[in-house]
Amino acid sequence: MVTGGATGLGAAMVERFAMLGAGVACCYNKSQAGAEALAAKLREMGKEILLVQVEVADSAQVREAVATIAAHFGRPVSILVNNAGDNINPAPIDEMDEETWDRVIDVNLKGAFLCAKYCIPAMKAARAGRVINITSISGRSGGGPGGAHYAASKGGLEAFTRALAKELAPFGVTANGVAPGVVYTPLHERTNTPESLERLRQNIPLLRLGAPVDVAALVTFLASPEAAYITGENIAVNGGLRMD
Amino acid sequence: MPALKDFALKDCARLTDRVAVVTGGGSGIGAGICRAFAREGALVAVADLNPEAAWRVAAEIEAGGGRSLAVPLDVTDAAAVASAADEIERTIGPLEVWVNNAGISRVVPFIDCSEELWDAVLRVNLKGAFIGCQVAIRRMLPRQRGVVLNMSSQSGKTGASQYAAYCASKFGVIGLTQSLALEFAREGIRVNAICPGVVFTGLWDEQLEDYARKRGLAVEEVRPYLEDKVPMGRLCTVEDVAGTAVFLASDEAAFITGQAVNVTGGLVMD
Repeated sequence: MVTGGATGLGAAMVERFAMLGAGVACCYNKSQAGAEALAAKLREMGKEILLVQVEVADSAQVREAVATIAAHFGRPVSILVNNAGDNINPAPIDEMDEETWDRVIDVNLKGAFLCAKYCIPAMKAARAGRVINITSISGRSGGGPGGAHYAASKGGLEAFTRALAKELAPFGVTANGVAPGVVYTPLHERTNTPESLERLRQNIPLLRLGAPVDVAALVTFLASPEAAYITGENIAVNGGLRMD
Repeated sequence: MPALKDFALKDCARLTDRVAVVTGGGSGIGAGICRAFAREGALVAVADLNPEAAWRVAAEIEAGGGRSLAVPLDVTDAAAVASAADEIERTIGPLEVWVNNAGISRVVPFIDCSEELWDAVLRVNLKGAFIGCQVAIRRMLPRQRGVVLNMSSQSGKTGASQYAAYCASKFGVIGLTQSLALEFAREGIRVNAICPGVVFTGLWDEQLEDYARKRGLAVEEVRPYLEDKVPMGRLCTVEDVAGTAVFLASDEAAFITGQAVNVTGGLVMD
């Protein structure tokens, strides 16, 4: 189950899980066209993919989505990737409206809580499972200008990851964070100029922007048996931009 | 749980034809990394102070259909490490992956920690990594390509009583890792560290009695005591560390550098 799976990083994760043989539930909220295009592409290659429209901040919808996925695949979710995230209306803190703050915290933090809440019982029962939360470099850096809501949500998601890890370890379930730095997605084309992208690139020690597959490869590693003893970690995939 | 087994990736080797050197490769974690690298298609130089141990691991890899070379090596001898690296490049090819894994460990009250012991621990664990990094990176630079992995420890993230020299060396390894990651990222060289939890290897056999004394436990009580502290309820294994080493050495981790990844079952999360 990959939330925010229709576009950007999430789509790369959906694709990689599908290529590795998983049955993938691609959850999306608004990006229906992207979800359908991705599903068509993967189905053409004979991959199993289920599209689920869900607002991750809505408890009833998440509960229903998790049940739908289990019914469709005939087995419950064993790998949950909390990737859905929002970053709207950047503003200085004294000018940020409460609705903006609430919306970002709701999607990025409460959404992860709700998805975990409804997926965990089956993982505990199976005594196996993976929760992977997509955090961000901003959880440690404090984020970009006007991004207090986003940075706070991602910092919170890191702490939530550690709490999950401690609580789920006795059940053989791991919980980890993946903290991307600057990853090139269609979003950046909209919010950056070629010059500002070049400045971002120059700041990254490896001298390139991240690609969605860089993040997806770390996610599938953490989902694999090889990472069975890694839990409570927040692994950065940022080209050396930040090391703490 | 079949859904997780689907991700074993065992059918697609991730280090095909890469030349990899693993110091301390003759036993414990190092031997596990050598075996895992060979399974992923790498040509593995098993470097160890104990030539027989290196030979045993290399022979085992060869017998299993892998490709390997035994290299007697003292990681604290810079000239010897450089000439071993040259020899490896001559016989199997250009170095692409170098793992600084050789290490020693002693549990001893700080007041009783002799200058000789302090020097020995820092010499092997930290200076050995410095020498390995320099020898490896010098050879990787012309090709603008390479991966260095340094073995730190959960004791490189958090201190432990009666373990000052070891902790200092492993904290140092992370500083070395971060500095080199920054210095050589633009040259296409990635440098990362791995921080395993307690793995019961030969290294632990040697300090088991001292550890039991430190905790006021009988020797046979040490393992359950350590297991009980780990959220996952078990100790780390050689395979746990080797799996992470393979991932970090492979192109799957192409955008990961300067990181120190904990493999501790949730015991250390910083």
